[in-house]
Amino acid sequence: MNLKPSFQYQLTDHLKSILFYYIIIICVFSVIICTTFVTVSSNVSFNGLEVATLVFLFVSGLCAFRENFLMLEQNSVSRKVIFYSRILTAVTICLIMAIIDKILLTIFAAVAMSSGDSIVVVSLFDLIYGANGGVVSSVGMQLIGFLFNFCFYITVFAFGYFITVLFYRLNKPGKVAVGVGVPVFLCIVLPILNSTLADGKIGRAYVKFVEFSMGLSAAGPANPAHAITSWLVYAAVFGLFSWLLLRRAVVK
Amino acid sequence: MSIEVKSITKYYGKTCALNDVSVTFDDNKIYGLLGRNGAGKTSLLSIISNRIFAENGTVAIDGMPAQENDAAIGRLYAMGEKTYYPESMRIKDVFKWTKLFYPQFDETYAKSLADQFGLKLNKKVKSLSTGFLTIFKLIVALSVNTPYLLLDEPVLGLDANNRDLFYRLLLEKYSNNPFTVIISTHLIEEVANLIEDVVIIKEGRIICSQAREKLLSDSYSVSGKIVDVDVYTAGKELLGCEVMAGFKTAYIMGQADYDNADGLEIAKVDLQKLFIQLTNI
Amino acid sequence: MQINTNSDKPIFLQIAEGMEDAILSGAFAEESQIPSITEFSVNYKINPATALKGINMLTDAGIVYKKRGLGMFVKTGAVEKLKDKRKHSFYQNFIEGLIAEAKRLQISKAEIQAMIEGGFDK
Repeated sequence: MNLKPSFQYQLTDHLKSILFYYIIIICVFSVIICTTFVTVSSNVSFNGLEVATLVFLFVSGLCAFRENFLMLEQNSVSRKVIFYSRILTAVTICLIMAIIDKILLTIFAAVAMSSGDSIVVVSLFDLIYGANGGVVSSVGMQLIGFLFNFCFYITVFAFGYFITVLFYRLNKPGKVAVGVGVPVFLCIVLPILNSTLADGKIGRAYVKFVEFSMGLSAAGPANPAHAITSWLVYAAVFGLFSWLLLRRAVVK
Repeated sequence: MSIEVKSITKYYGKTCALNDVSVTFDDNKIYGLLGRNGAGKTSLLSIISNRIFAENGTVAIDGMPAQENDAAIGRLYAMGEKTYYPESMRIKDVFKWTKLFYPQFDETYAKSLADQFGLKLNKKVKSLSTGFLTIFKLIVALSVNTPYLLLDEPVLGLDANNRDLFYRLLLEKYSNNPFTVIISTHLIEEVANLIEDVVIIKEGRIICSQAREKLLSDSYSVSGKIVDVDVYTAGKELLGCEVMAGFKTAYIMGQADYDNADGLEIAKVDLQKLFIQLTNI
Repeated sequence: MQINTNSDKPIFLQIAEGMEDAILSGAFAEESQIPSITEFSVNYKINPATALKGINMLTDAGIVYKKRGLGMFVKTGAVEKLKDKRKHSFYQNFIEGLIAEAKRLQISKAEIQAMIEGGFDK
């Protein structure tokens, strides 16, 4: 069984870019700190870390299929084992990055505090679920915040992977159809439909759906557990579709 | 111990690449998988190595079903015309990873082969020329030590010296420690004496699978005046003919009939000539 | 020793006859080691089974023998044995053909004898 080497291989494949990513993040934060010292501008807010990580993970997911698949197939690894090792890799990477992000945010917050009130470091979770946009402090909420990040990361990673496997399986006309069709449908057809035929129903349904899956509601307190469950369900769905596509993928 | 291919059928769209193919590759033999361009050699090897799927049929490696079975496909290494290693990976890293996937991989031997072929270990896969890409893949194939080795066009882009070196290395390794090799190639003359068994594939069907020596001893050519040759070949299993200015050479399956061959010249046929006669349309 | 892959003669036979020639010429003395199957196979780029078949002919004829773990060696008396064998086939291989060709060319018995003597004296 080549599970361990496959996992090891895919993990190594990601580690280098993750290292680069964090070096850049730290540099960006340092630059922000320095500029605030120089310009003494007031109230700079640093709250993009998780979003940056999400974008990074999405792109990583997009780049994680073709080369790995061919390399592993060349080394007589079955698609089944490729998929299992993919899950292990995704969980490990997202866990590592969620932990690093937590640590970095804590350090950044401490640095920001000590440098006066000019910079505010806020996490994505605090931004969405914190009371009045403030900081959530209880240990329980911290833990839920961490879980929220981790699950969000996995979902986005799985989404990127799903898209790349989908494109690998599609033939040329299919690639064009999906590559052009989906954006056109989402950005042009759907809004037009929404404003003409559906009388804004589609838009409202979408907002409702997002509110529900994120555990946000106009009435009553926000519920992050909802969001965590949603992320896991989405991740499972993307994973399932990825597997259905992967299990008949051919080497080409 | 063998690779057993049973009733494999493979379509690409409406084109039938393999049509109910059944063939067995026994252990510790060198096979020549011969066929014209597009005959289905690569498809067959890709199905055996779990890279593509057949519409029908099964492959068993040492009795284990091969499809999606790590234990079965781990017993083979398939070197293809295409390169499936990451472009930015260095040769030495390919060796390192191969060792993890194939614990029997002999890294020291691989490095000594790289030295003999003049392949630099620090080079990246993408920086290799066609010839060196083949050399690199051959080195991995020769060092991986699996019971089954599938080589699809193993000398693509190699100069005469490197081809010679490869054949020598393969034979040295094989005669010291036999394993099964399936060589698919169109350079028949070069492998003619290397291989023990011949599998000939024509338009997706296996038309011949037997010992090379048996195949060659069961065939011969007769040449002479057209009329004489025609009289001789009547009722015999004729593979094909060549005619040149009233002079005819006929290729025949079976044993030569010297008693009725007055005025005719009977000769042995080499594998390449036989192949051409067998696979001509 | 040369292997001619275009020859009508099977390669294993060429290996056996080539080794016989080499032993007769003294290239491999009695009780000396002959190349291994691997060496034959690698040098002539032939399947080891083919080389083995050729060498087995020599083993069966009592020309060479196997020393366990060491390799193949020329048997004592192999040269005599080969000479006997070759003399035996000399008549069939050369004399019969010579006479048949001479008859076709209408060369007389005396002329042939003269030629042979001339050839020997050269």
